[in-house]
Amino acid sequence: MTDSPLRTLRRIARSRPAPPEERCDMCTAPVTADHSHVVDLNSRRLLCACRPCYLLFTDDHAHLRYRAVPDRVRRLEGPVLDERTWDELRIPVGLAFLLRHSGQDRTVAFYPGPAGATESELPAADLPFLATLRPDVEALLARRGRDAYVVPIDACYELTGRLRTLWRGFDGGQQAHAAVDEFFARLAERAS
Amino acid sequence: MASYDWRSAAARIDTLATGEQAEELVRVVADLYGAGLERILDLLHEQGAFTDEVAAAFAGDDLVTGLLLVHGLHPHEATTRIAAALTGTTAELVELTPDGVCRLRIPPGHRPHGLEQTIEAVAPEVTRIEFEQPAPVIPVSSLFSRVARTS
Repeated sequence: MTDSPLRTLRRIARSRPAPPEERCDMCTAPVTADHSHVVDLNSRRLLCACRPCYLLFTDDHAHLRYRAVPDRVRRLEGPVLDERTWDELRIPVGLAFLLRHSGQDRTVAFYPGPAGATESELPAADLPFLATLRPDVEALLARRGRDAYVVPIDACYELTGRLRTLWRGFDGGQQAHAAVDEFFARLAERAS
Repeated sequence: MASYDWRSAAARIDTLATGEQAEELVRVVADLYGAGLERILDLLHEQGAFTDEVAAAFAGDDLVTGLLLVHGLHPHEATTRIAAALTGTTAELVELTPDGVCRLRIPPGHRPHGLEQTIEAVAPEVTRIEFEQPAPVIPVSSLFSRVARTS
């Protein structure tokens, strides 16, 4: 054997293409898997952000189109949403997240389902603790009759995205419930 | 199929597999056949048919060796393959380091032609080839003849 005719085949078979690189949606710099996000207040869209871009939008009172999503998780003591509130929310599953829209000056509730996050009508009476949430970027994530956390909004999207792929039937099914339990276990670890 | 020219086929892959999609297709097909080859070897082994003679026959066949190497399935160690490929040449294997440096000892004089390709074909894990070549011993008489000529 004097040459290596299978060199190309060997190169292709042995190489594995690198997974597509994640980039900052604002400046296209490469970002790591644990990058932060900013919210576009006009479109309510989440954008991946590198650290420098993220830091430009951390002031809650600045009049900017984008707002940095914080990474703190706080566990709230006691039943934050009582049974009456849950009934008024008309949420079919015992899981919801509530957030404040600064632009519209109102609070909205979402619950996860097979089609992603569904918006729900909020009870007329605003709930006092919602004032402690940072508008647009933090949410109250609660399980009926169980626990509640203040979480960054990207965590809510992560959970809804996961549930969407696992959802079976009306209440989500076993796999979805397991995913929720696992998610809340991780929140408990992250909570300050 | 007796006259199947696998070297030309390999060269065709070289020209056709350009662009990410084409490479991806080649990769997927190669993975599939690689998995099949591996299964065949496993089955031979399970049946007790994968003898040293069979392994040697595989090693002696250029096409089989080449394909087994594509998938990292060759039954022989790299040093065995290199030593076998060097049989009949003046070079001998000194060592193969874990990081793929292959050291060869060759006699003084001209470096044998095509050694690099020979090694690459049987041991793609080799990253670099180094030669150990003792300095030729110059006969004293030849030195004097040179002095005589220049003076």
